[in-house]
Amino acid sequence: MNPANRSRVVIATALIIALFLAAWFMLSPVTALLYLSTGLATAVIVLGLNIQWGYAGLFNAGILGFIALGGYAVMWVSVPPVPEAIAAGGAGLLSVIVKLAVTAICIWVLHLAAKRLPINLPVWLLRTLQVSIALAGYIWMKTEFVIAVEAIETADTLDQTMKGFIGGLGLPVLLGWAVGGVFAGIAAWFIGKVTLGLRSDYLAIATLGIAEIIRTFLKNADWLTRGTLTVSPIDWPVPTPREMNGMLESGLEINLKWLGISAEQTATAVGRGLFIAVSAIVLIILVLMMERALGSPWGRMMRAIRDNEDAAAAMGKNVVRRQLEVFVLGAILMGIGGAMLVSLNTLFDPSSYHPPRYTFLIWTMLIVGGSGNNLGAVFGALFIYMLWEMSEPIAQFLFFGGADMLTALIPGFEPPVDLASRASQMRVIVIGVALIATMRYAPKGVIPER
Amino acid sequence: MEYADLLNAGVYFINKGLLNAFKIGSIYALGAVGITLVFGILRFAHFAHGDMMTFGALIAFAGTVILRNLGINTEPIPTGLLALPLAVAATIILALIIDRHVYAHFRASKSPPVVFVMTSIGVTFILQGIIRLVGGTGDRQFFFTAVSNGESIREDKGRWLVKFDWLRDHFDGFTQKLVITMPQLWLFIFTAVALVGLHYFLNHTRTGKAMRAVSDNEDLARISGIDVGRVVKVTWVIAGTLAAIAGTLLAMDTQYKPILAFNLLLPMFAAAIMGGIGKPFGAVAGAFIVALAETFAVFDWRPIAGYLFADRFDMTASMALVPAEYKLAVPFAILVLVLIWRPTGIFKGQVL
Amino acid sequence: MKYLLEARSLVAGYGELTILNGCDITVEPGSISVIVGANGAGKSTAMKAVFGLLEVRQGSVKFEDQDVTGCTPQRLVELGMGYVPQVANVFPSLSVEENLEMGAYLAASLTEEGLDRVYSIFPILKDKRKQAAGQLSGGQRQMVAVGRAMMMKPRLLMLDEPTAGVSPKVMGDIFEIILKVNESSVGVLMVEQNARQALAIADTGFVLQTGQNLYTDTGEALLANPEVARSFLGGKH
Repeated sequence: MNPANRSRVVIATALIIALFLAAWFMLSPVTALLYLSTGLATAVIVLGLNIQWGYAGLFNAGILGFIALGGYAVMWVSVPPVPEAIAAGGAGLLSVIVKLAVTAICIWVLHLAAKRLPINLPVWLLRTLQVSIALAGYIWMKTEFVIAVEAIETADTLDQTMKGFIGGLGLPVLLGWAVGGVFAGIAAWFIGKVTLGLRSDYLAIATLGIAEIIRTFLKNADWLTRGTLTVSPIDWPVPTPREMNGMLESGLEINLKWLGISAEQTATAVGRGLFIAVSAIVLIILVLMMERALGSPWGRMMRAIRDNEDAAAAMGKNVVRRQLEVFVLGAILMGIGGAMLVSLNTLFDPSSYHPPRYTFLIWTMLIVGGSGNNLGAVFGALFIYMLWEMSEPIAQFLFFGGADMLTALIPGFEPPVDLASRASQMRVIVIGVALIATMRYAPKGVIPER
Repeated sequence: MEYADLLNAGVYFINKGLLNAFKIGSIYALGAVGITLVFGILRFAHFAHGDMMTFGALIAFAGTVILRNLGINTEPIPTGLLALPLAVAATIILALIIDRHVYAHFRASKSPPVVFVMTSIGVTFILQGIIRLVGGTGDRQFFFTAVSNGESIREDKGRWLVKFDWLRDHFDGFTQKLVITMPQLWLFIFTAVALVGLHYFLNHTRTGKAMRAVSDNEDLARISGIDVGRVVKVTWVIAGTLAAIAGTLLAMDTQYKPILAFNLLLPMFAAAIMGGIGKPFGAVAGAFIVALAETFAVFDWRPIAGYLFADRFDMTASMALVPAEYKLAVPFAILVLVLIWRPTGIFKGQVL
Repeated sequence: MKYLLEARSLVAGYGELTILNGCDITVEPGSISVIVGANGAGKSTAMKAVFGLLEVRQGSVKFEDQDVTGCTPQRLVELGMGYVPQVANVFPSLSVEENLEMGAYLAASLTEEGLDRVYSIFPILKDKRKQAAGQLSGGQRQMVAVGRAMMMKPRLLMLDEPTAGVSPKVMGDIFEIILKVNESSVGVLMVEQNARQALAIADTGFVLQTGQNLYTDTGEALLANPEVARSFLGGKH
């Protein structure tokens, strides 16, 4: 690390600590811990974006899709199955899957046939045939699918919190984090296959569109995700605050008074502290792995491609192949991060995924932190996330103060009734200003690439 | 099958299908033209365009509240329409301010398109914040009961019914009718006038031709002495005008809400790209194609099948191609397909 | 006025790189000057420096005895210079007539007269005036490009490699276009790869090497110069 960067890292760390302490004392210690752990999980996502954008220059605006897939995966892995629903619609779903597989195989065989056999099939005819088969397969399975879904969604369950969907696997949650990465990676492979090679802002629009499709699907496939009903609780890899409480009641003695944490909050604080520890370990492992990758010949090649795609292609590098690798790798991290977030919130709510929060805020974190630099990515994630959370209480404080002042000064002045919800909008403004200001005055971010 | 059934099916199809598609298509068209002009002349995907539309609608709403409380009532012309000039002016000023203080800097430093896109996302954040800060987070109706001078006056949206009385006399059992709301009617009128006006401007005025020239080849335009800075300003004026009109009329037809236009962004990009970047009338065609596709993908054909084939089908399940929840996903799917198979658009626009 | 254009001791380049090291370029009123030289000798750079597309670090440019060093292209167009870039020199989606109108953007009043003049030089363009320039053949497109630069009635027309990448037949057409323009006593300055044909129509030729004048003479004399022939005109003699 060069000396100029060292002082920047010190300042950056100080900023994060200042915001953390502000949350600790202005709000509460457990809230500050919650922000820190959310920030760490988000840092994994930003690390993924840094690989895609910082290493390879891929403008992915579909981050939300990978985060949501990771979130779905952790829910699916950790939540127990719902036997009643499976009994009601499992057979139907299986049949639908078989039919879809048959359709896919037909399309694939046609693709192979056109490629290998000595028949000269015009491309348009091949595509028309494939699309017709896909459409036929869709109609073939549609009715059965609708019936199966209906059966699953209306099946009576013993546990009302699990009503309406088929449930999951009931396996350890940590496995769910890994599966989150796998799901996101598989999706990224397909998405990358079709979209990489588009000019930067076209790629952004395409990935944004695909992410919206993923989101719409997860939100509306009630049989799979419970949709707007949401699934909870999702497990933690460490004792949850509730389990922690049980342990405290059964004799475990922990005293955090010296940190200003009350007895009622001790269980939550310890639980969150443990979660932070696990997240930090995951993050550190991933950062070290990425640092190694960046320093390897593969990493150098990636940067060469990013800086001059044409020249790299001319030197015989398989640019699209390398970009696909990087796209998948980045998406895996996003999936893991998304899984961590859902696990942390103990809630999977597919309608909570909004592009401003889960795509553009992530971008802001990377740009402000410094793209091309893993340390910058982590810093950006923690700093911007805390700023995002803290600008709301600060704005409310200012707004209500201002309203009180105006009420006192101007007779007949009535502040709007939804002042609190208006004040909460200050945070998007703060983030927007931070983004534009960084682009303008420090285009390389707070901690620039070495 | 009787003729009356055929008529019923046809009118139902127009009323619930085509009219809807035309309404949303007009909105998309007004937005997509702005997007494609900005894309062609400033060479970046302007992500804050939807929020410019929402901003226009908000100003129009504020103007409507003021006018109604002053007791102004110009039925059958909706009050919201009187506030439209204000909304247009405000949106133009907003667009010019943003350009001057944000985009101009990156233009001067010849930044790559990605920087512009990221910056426009920052602008989106700020605009969304300001819109909610000023206008609140709730939904708002343009048609409400206002109290002026102690008198409460209610303004209705107004509907225009086409009942086809002359046909009803001849065909027993013909019951369907067309329902067009006043805001929809105005939307169609404004869209037509705006697009004809734009066509005239681009093809028959010096400034319009200069705009097309800059979109075609900026360097050559500079060498020819075209003032590119002025062309950029004109572009924002046009984009802002169309955005304000689209936002206001959409909000009048449904309601104003802070995320009014954010969801329209991707369909509008789809339309602009499908029409070929830098081709305003390609964008218009793209807008109507996207609107038709999304409307008919979720269109439930049951009533029509009922009229045409009586009881020969089991009609308990919806006969829509795609469930209605996935309506928003249709334009995205079209967008992705267009980007992958024909990034130059169906009318061969420029490749950026 | 001896020279229409007089550029002396030009030094210019891109970023760190200096390409022109004090070269001289002149055009006499109504004559044709041609710049030839090997790749990288600074031919196009000289052109761009003269036309204000590149910063002139040292040296001066005079147009009709007026110092125009560092003027913007727009200003030079107003003063009476026209410039035809090497590539992308038309507006492809604009019609032929609109392309020409853009050439007179700075002085709308000249449009009518300019159109008449360009159509009289290139009658074929009048027939195609409603057609999009992007749909024209290579030679016709060059006519549009030259026509656009001619709209403001320039006294000097500058062409950057007008024959780059065109077929031999079209190349002949283009030289004809240039001669036609020159007939109306417009001075021409052009950069050419095809040195032999270009020098054949040139009143003055400049042979550049590493950004400096290697030879400066009449076109005829340069063609006759065995040194020039061996190094720059290719084998067949």
